[in-house]
Amino acid sequence: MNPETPVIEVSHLYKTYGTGKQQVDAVRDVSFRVYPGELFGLFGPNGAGKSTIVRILTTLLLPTRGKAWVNGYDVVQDPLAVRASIGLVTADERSFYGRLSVTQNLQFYAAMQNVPRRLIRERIEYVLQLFGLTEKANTPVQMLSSGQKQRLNMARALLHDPQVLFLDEPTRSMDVQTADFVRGLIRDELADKQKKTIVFISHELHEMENFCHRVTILANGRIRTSGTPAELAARLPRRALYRVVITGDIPRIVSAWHTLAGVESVAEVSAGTAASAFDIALADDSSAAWLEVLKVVQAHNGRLETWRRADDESLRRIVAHFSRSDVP
Amino acid sequence: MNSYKLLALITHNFRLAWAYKLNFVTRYLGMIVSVLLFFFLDQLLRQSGTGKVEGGTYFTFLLIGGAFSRYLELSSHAFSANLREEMLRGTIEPLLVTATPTTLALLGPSSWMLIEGTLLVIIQLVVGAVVGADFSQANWLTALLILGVSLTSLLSYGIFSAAFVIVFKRGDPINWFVNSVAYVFSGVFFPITLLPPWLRIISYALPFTYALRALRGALMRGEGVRQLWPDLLVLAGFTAVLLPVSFWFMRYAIHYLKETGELTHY
Ligand SMILES: Nc1ncnc2c1ncn2[C@@H]1O[C@H](COP(=O)(O)OP(=O)(O)OP(=O)(O)O)[C@@H](O)[C@H]1O
Ligand SMILES: [Mg+2]
Repeated sequence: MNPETPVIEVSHLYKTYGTGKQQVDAVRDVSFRVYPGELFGLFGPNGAGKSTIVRILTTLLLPTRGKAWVNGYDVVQDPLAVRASIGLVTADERSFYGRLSVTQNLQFYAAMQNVPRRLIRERIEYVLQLFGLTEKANTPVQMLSSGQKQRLNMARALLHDPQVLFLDEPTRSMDVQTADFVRGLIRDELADKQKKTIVFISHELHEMENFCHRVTILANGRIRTSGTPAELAARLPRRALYRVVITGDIPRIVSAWHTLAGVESVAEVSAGTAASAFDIALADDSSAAWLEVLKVVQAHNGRLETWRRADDESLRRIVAHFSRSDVP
Repeated sequence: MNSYKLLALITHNFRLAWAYKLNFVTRYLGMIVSVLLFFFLDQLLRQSGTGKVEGGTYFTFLLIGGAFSRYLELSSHAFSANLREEMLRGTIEPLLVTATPTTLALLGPSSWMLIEGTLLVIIQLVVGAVVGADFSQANWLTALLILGVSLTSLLSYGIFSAAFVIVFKRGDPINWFVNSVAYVFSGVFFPITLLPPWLRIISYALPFTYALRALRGALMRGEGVRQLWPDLLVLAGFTAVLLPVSFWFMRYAIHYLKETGELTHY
């Protein structure tokens, strides 16, 4: 694997919120490492524990058990040193002083981040230009749109040029183009060019496939799997996905399909008066299962107009698969 | 590094206060109005034939009491109100994730309020002097010393109330205590000698009583450290006990915050 020393090391981390009936085991025995320059994705359904892990790594939260180091500093023992070398972006775009201008907000955070006074101006100009906010420098933050505030949020986290970035759904309120633009910046400028180590949390799975170098999938506080997107795809059990167009007694055909053991799911793609299109997923890629599907069509006086394989090894499917509780 | 940050915190919070101009102006206007109120209360008393209180005019007495009560308000309210606002606004988390010691991040935003409070006290005394308060014998240097010593004990009340807000997420009992008890029993509006002795016990349990009494001694009767040292000593004693306790409670509150993660919940 990677011979370098990790920038982030998480070792048997646990976090339990509350006690008694209110108790939530948000993180359970999580361990992972992130290496210099890596763009590391944390995925998983709502409540999986992603933000909790990031809050522990950014020293906002104490772990219940286990250890974690960022840049070689223990997050519990040495929080100030950890904070000096990290930037955090969350999806909370309220987090500014609305009546103050963009520049006044950034001036304040720069000082609190130990940016030397003589560098403050230069750094603010740089981060504003990076995120296309130069024109907004003197605008009160409350007059920015959600997407602009979210970009300002990114800009704030970069003021002190931290080596490590934690991005917790940073593109949540951005439109598609802006999100693409920001993701491009994160990957090309911050990760590839400036060699920052980045932990990225998101729900935009379909767009993450070609984005993160390595991903870890969490569900219920536990790591389910991790690797490069390609490695994860290879680890999925083989299944077959067919796109079919049929005619005949559609409702009865569909309900008969559902009763077949080999059919995992049936999704209508388009319904027409004459023919309808469906995506059928088969649990395993065998000709026997496919034959059963065809038999059902014939049995209901239907006809298979067209069919094709539509296999889909997307990260979306990978996450869905590994988030299921019945997958070991 | 921390003094650089303190300066940044003061500048920033001044800008914030200034951004709410109406609030800013009303604070100063309110102060002038209260000076007028004291002035006319004094007139009323003169008409009924009683003018002197503790060796000075009632106006001067009230002016000092009223000015000092601003510190009461600050210590009981400023820290917690500021912190609460930061939490509601969602700005506390970005601040806590900077390379700033947590205590400074939580209490620092109140630094401007403390400075403004001092400024308001001074302005109020000056405006009072212009309207006719009698400071002919005032010992200003001693008064400054008293303010300094009492501020540290008041600070501990502020820290205590901030810690309370962190843990319980709502208005704190310190605030109630000061507003309902301290005003009456520490002699802001009338000399505590008017209270029956058994009630005066409460007065003697409050640091404000000593601060106010010493302050009036210095400003109305020109007393110096030689006369006022007992009050100063008691104030220092209060500080010696309250400050460590409040910092201990603050540390507990920070630990609680990081244990529960309840940063912005309301
Ligand atoms: N401060 C808190 N107090 C109590 N429980 C909490 C707290 N914060 C989170 N939780 C619980 O811990 C679990 C994990 O939450 P977390 O926010 O880490 O999930 P997440 O993976 O970031 O989810 P999302 O995708 O919705 O942001 C959830 O069940 C949540 O309800
Ligand atoms: Mg989250």
